[in-house]
Amino acid sequence: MKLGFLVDLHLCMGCKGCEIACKVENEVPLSTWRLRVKYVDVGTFPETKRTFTPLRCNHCENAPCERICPVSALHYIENGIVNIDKERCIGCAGCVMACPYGAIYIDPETQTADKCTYCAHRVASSMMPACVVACPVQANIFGDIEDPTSNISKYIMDHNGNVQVRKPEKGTNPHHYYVGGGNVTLNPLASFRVEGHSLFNKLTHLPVGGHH
Amino acid sequence: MYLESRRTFLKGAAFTVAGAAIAKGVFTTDAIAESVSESKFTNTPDSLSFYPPLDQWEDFKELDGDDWKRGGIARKGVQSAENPDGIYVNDFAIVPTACSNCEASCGLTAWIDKKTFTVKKYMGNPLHPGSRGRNCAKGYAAQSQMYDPDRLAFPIKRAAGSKRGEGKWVRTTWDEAMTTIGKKMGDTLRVGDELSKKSVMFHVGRPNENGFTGKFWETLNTDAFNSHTNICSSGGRTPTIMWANDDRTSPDWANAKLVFLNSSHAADAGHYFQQSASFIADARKKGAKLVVMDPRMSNSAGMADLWIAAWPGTEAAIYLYLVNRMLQENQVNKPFVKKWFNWEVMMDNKDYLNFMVKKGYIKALPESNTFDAYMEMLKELYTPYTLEYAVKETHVPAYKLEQLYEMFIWADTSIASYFWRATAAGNRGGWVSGRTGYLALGLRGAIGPKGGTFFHHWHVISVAGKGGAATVGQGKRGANVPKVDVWNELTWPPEWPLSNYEMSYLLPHLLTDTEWQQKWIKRGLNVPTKLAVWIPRMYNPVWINPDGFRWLEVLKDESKMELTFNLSPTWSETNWHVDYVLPVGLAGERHDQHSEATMPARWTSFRQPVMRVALEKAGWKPKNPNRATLEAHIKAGLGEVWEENEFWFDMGVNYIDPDGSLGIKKMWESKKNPGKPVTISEWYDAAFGDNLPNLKSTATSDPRYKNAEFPVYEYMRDHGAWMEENHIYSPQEREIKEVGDKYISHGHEYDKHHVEIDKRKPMHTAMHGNTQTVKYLSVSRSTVRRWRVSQLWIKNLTSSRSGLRLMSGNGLSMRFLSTLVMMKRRKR
Amino acid sequence: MVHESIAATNAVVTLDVALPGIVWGWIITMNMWAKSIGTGVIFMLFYLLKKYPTESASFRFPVALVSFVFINIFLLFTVIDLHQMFRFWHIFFHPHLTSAITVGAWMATLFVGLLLLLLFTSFIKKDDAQFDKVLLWTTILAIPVTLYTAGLMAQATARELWQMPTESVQMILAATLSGSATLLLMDTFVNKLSYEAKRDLGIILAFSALAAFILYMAELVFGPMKAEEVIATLAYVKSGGEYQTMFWIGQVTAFIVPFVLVLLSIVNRSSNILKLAAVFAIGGLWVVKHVWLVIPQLLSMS
Repeated sequence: MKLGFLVDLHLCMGCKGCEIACKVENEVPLSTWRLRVKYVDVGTFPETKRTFTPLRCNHCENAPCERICPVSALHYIENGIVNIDKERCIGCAGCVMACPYGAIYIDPETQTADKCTYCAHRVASSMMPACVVACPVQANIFGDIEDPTSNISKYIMDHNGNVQVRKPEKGTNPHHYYVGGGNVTLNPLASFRVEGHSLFNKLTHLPVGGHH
Repeated sequence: MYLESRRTFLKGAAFTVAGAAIAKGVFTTDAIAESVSESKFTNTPDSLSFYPPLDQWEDFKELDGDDWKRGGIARKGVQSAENPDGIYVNDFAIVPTACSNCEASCGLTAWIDKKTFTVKKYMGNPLHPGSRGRNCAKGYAAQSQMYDPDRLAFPIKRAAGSKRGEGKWVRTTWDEAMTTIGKKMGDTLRVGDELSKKSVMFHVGRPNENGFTGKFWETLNTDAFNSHTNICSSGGRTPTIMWANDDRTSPDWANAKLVFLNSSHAADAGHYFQQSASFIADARKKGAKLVVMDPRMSNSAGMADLWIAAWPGTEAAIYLYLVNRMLQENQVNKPFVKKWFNWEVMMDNKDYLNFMVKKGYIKALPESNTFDAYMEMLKELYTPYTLEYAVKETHVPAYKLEQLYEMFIWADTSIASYFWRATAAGNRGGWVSGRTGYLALGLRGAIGPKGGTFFHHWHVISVAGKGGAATVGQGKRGANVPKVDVWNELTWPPEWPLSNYEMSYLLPHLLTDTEWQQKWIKRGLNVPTKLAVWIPRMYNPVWINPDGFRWLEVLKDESKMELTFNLSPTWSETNWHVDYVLPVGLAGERHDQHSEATMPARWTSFRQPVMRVALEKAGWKPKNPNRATLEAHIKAGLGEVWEENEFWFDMGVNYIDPDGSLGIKKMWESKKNPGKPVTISEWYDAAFGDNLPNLKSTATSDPRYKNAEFPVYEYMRDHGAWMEENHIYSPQEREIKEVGDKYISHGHEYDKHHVEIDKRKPMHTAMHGNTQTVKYLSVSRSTVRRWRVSQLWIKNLTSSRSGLRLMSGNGLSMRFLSTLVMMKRRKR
Repeated sequence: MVHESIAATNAVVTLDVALPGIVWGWIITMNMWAKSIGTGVIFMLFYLLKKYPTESASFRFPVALVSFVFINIFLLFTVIDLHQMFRFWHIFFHPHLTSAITVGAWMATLFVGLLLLLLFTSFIKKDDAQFDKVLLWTTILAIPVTLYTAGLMAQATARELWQMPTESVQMILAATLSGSATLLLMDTFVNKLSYEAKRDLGIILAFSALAAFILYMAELVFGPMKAEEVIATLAYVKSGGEYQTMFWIGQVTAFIVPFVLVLLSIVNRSSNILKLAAVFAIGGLWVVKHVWLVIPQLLSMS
């Protein structure tokens, strides 16, 4: 069994229901995000569009974070999920350096590395991840990618196998796919980040999960 | 499982160096592996569900997300007596309720860990036909509201001797507050004159329920129920009131071909956001097109197939352009228009036709009063609204408007649209966009069919105030509640006879404007010059309303508002200036029946205090069954947080009218336990059971509930949501029932001798008094003609003061207010 | 880049969370810098003992001591950078051998052990032969100890700028640069080296500086021809970039100035200029390493 995730970007409308569901389900501390939805506006008025891209850990088959972790705090479990261990983690932040997707953050409360776990605790209880349940437009598809009859496999085939992943050239072989994704949504270098790129403040960077 | 985990461990052990022998894992593997294999948890489940089945809601075990961070069950196992270091297992009781963070009433479930009796999270309610188990960000955030450290945990009151706004608060008890408030309300009402019936005012911000408090105010026999609608949605409701005497649109998003949003609503934000957005997504999956009309690039506009960035306030020009083109290019749905527009009323109104000629809207009177003549006249009337006109007014490029027209025609009758925010909210003249929008929709016949736009009241269940059968005095569905026979000038000032809603933002001005008061007093009206009691509810006019400083002035003036209290769990600028702040709960902390028109069906949510329900299921019983919610919250550690239903039941019976002399006590006295207030289960069993026949028959025949004392209540308690009827399309086509000497239409009864039948139209009309009085006519209205009202569209709106339903273009000067859609019955 | 070119594909991020800033900062720079010195002096000692055995005899103990001190500085900064520093022992009790960090930590520990042995044999036992035997193993171990950081940087898939081939060479060059510079400065106190020995050290210094400089310039000019991420990262050291000034200060003080000074010293047969070159090299190396560590972390990953 290999669990995979698929986001249909044709449906996502940037409501952030998934972000908050994740926060509540996993008690993610303030100012850190396991899952977030990024807005990128494209075009020039009057022909403009807004794209929405949910971004979370890709649970790579060949995870650079798992490889670099000196103590196996980040480890594989048999269903393909890359799991965390806050008691083992020494906070070296090697994983933060290694992850090409910026999915890992240092939890300011435990001072250890943390990231999306595909709600492994829910999976172990035979339940879907919280973000999958919350999404009003069911843009999140989750299931066993090794099973050709699973919902996610069928969804991929409904789109003729035309799914995208983030940064495929890094050789990480992610288990997280997108339908309707492209350069603007999946390549961070394809969009311009202005100073203070949030609509409401001028914060671009926050100190990494606190102190040493 | 055991073997597998051991194998996995050994596989890992082969790679680690000698250090493995020192590593913890070796000695506790067996205990860990066993703790997992003996539980239901596994990292390789056979299937994944969105929600557990209903029969597991009272006892559902799920691993904890925060504790899982310690490495999961592969490293730590499942917590048990033998394995205390394992991953924590939540022992959930899942209790359904409804969200209260907007008006959509999406279903929620509270996941209560029975070991600690805390709500760990709120998720959705899979049984809710509108929200379908999904929620927006606000729904999940309800958990942080419940445990917010800044919320109020007990009633507080202004310290004796201090002034309002000084911030000198002391803790008090519910009993003290209710005694003081009840006495003031009772004393005021006991005076018994007309003025007293205008002086005890309830001012609702966010209702989140369908009719309970309104009913309570009726039983007080007062006309003092105020809303915030005039600074909010009255611009959105007015077009629907004008066209069909209904309240707002109810679009069938999921089956639409064209989703035409007039504002960012529905896919972005707004009144029913999450449910609408999910239905719109369903439609788009099937090939529907999304058009968003919005001056700014909202999220909906950003993902739309076509974004019309009209200059703010010019949206009506676009609808008029569509109307004009449809008329010129013969794209009108003539059978629909002929059957459902009251074109005969217009063609017979010679005065108005002459007025239009005089104004130059048409060149000459039509030659006949036939339908064809009407269509020809319309064609002429709308000729000025060309593409060039629209482009000039709206600054939208011509090619976009043409594209819009093509989509409009392509979608045939499956055009779903919504008139509410944006132009309609709080903008002067904003109701015009909805008014013109309906014309465009109506001419295409997109009113009623699958994928089209319809009206609110056909898709809503309003029974929160209809549990009267459980009381001594109300009678079934409130039949015996006496009609109110006063008219409050503070909410309906005579200067504005055509206002669709209470002129609530004028309240402080009217209270202080002695000249205005004297003017009407001299003409014989009993205008109140002060309020004895003012009760806002989830409303913050100091912040929200224009001229907030005037609100502050009046709030602080004890001679203008003698006693004020806010039913609210949190602080606000307004709360700071009242006498009492009484904490009543939010989403998972109160009882409400709450239904909204989000799909062509009639569904309702049942909002519940989840801790109370969970405690009751665990065997707890309240000492005082009339204060069960309060006791449950105290026990659950939320503090003295109560709810409005029980509060008002108790007020009505024990504090406002303790000896029953006002006739209010019996209205809320329990039939089952006379002398005591009606209880939640009694009230809701009647409210749901007497008004929803499908629900009643389902609940009473269900083996789980049929032998219960309150089967319908218990059914709703366990399910949290109910759909009474689905696939409600074109209900205007339904036959009006005749029973004896009454006509029955949409749940209302009309005496046959009150009904006039016009053979030409053909149309039934009736003067319908709703529970507020009909016969009171203000002085200014005597100069206005007697209005006719279509019976199918008479609703118990607080706003539908009969006599104010506007018919075909009488008296209103705008040239495009030419016709009114009315539903009528074909004469047999 | 793509986003700036065409009106239709013009793309701007309009809403996102604040991203983490620099994770590995000056503490890690200290770590790398101290390790370069710690291993570098061992390389230099080995060389000097082979080529100039009599002159360098008295360097045995001082170099071992300097190496020991700097390796411990390196270890100290490594540990204090951890967000859970008291758990560092997990690396030994829950090791994950695919990680360059783990392998490096184990090797560094062994290296410290060997250094202790060196100190013992030179200071307590005073047995030069045994010292030299241990030194051989120490020198051999010093190579992977120097290189593992490059491996660590290469394992950081996110940072395109840190490529194993160049970083390996840079690490070795940093060791030889700082090692030779340190020995030159140490000779101020020991004062036993002949002009030829010092000249050799100077040549090693100059060659290391030249080679390192060539590598950095090659990356600066040709790197952008290969990968978009490299373009974006190097933008920080090119015109208008936050780290442009610091980058060039580093390049000049660590490489150009020492190289020129060494050439001058050879022409003039002066060894005093060599000391000046050494100071510049050691100071500049810190700056160079810091810039190269920090700039890839400024790039947003998502």
